[in-house]
Amino acid sequence: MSDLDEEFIPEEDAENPTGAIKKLRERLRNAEKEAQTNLEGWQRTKADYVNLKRDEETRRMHTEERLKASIAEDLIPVLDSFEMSAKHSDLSADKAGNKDLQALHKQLLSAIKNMGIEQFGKAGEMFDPHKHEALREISVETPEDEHKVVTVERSGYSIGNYIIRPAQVSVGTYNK
Amino acid sequence: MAKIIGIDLGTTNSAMAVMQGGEPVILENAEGARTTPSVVATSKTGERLVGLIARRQAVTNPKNTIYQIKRFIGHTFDEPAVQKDKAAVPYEMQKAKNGGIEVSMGGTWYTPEAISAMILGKLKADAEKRLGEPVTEAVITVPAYFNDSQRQATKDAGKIAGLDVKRIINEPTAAALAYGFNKKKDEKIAVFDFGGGTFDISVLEVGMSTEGEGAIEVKSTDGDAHLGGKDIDQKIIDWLATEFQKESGIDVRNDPLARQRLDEAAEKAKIELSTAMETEVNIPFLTSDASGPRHLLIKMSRAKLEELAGEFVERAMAITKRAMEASPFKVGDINEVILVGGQTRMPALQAAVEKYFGKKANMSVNPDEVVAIGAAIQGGILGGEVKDVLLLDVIPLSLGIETMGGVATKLIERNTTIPTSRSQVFSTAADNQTSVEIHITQGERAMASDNKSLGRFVLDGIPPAPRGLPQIEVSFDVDANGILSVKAKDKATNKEQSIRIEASSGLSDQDIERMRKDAEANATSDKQKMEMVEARNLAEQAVYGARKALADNKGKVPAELETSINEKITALEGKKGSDDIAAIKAATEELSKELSKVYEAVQKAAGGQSAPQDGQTPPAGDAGSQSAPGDTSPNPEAK
Repeated sequence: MSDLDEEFIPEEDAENPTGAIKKLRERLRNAEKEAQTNLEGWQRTKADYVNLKRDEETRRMHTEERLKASIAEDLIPVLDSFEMSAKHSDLSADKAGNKDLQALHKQLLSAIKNMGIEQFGKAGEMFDPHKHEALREISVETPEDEHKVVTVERSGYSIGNYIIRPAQVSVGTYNK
Repeated sequence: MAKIIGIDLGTTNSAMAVMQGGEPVILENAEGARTTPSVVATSKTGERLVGLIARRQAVTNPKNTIYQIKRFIGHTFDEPAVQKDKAAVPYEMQKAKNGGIEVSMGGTWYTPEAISAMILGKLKADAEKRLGEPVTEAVITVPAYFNDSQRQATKDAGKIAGLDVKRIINEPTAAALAYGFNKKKDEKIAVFDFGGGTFDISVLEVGMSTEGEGAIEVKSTDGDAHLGGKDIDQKIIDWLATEFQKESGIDVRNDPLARQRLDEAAEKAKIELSTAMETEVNIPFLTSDASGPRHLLIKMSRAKLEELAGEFVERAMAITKRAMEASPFKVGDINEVILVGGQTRMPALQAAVEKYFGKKANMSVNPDEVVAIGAAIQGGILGGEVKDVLLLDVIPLSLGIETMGGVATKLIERNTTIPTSRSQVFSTAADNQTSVEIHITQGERAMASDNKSLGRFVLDGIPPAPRGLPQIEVSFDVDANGILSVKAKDKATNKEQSIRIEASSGLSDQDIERMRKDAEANATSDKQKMEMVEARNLAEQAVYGARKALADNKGKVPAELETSINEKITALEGKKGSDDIAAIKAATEELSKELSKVYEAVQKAAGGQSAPQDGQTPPAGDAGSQSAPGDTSPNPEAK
């Protein structure tokens, strides 16, 4: 506030300087309060902008990963079918058809690997809900196999730290 | 001041949102998902798990995995509803000393508040990670039918999680807030919430509070705690399993591996049938028997889904009718219907709601996220974020200037948040042009004359130079009050002129709406006009380029080529004024082709060794490019 604004003092205030000072102090307090509110709003808006910029940057970096993950989501059922097919028929048998299927499976796996997508989940590893999803429990013979992955029903897939799908597994349970 | 987060603490899933830059945004959890399963567990190794991770191990640890805790919060153990729900969950429950409920997890007894606090605790931690700052305050939503003890228990859960719960609000109220309906007075709203496991219908009225703000009051609420999308999924799974059994003779219902794949396929089919009329459920190698692997391949139509879901839709509509009858309003009084919950994406449900209320339901805000969004808005209001002084406006119509050929070149697009400023460099349209006129226009139409003229001014004193050479920087600045200042500066001399315009203040909302509609209605004819102007501009540039090339290379161009070019120039000039856009383009093309021969001839004359000297106009290819340097469009008209 400029000094000019304060030049005019109403007559009654001039006769009663204490009252005038009181009024001015009140105005000053209000102005300070308003300035503080505005400053907070300004700081918050600025902070929001800085945060938004940072978020956008992170999002931009993740966008590619997520895009690949969403493509992988559509491809994973095909990979599942290859795995199922291997389980249901003896793919190691030296038949022409089996070899063709194995070659196709390999090709698809290598394509998603090139995209940075990793396949995971192995029998014998300790069950970990951060990367495994338990579909059922299976009785095991030895206590060492308790809470371990007995079979991988469907492999898990991840890109970077993002789990596209956990490995769907059967978990060992030991009953004495 | 720290952020107040909005939390939708759901029976099956929870979500959180926060105000950022005045807008509510959903916060993803640590796993990168927008919703978090409301599941808590103590793993066999003694680890506390919350959300998706807890759900993934539920099969191996059912007694220590707690879900649907919302059904028990704030209740006493002896209530019949509690006893019924207790029978449906695998974890153990006991009566607490105060008559309340305790559940067992990892060998310890916990109250439902403590379990809910673990979910809230994860949301809090994930929000802090996302926001990069501590989160200590929250707004949490509860169903409208929650009584005082359920609300208090939810508040206590927040407190245990280290959150100061600034307010507990009703889920339908949050949904109405997300749609901004608190700003409309005397509005009557129905909120139809068909979630994963529960169904709620609420009738709200927006009145005015003593502070003159919209106050939302729940007039009636009803629902079914055991009706939801999961029931529809189950029906689809049963149907698929039955069809598969008919064909293969194998019942896969009790095979957990096949069951998992059926679950996923059923949900996928349901989602696909929201947009498609038919889908194919394809599960290769679902199971096997002596004859080898068996595959499931079934076509499912939307009609089939509607038949399967029919009984649940009917049940929901009967409850809706009951809630309307319990409210003080008639069906016709309802102004808005809001859809909440992912299941409301199903067309059959939308059609049933539309038929009953006689109006289309609102679902422009994601129905899975709308409650959390509303809670964040409430948090924003409580935190003072949504305050007049900080409210940012947008410009209702685009602002720009008139450029060559009468085109309106936009500098600031409509809906840009203000205050803002933009600048762009333009140039001159004619040789030795010493002044430019800046004509400021407002509107969405392509041609300046169809838009509203806001003002004009002249910048003169531009040193004479060939067209396209001077650089005139035009800057637009709109302040927080919508006042527009336009400045034009000649970059060579730093000479500038400016004007100040009370930009949008002269237009009423109706005017703005009319202008927008005008632009939409005339989009096609405006595009044609633009094409015509562009073709004429290119023609003009081609003629200019050709004349300059001939003048610059006098004596080097064979006489017959010069005659031919002059003929083409005359032909193009004759067509330039016509409305035949194809003829103008063809004539321009012919002239450009002929011009390229000049380049060849000049090179030949120079012994085939040099490119044109610096400063010379390249004769070829110039006709097709803009003449203004470093710029997007040529300048305003010549003075």
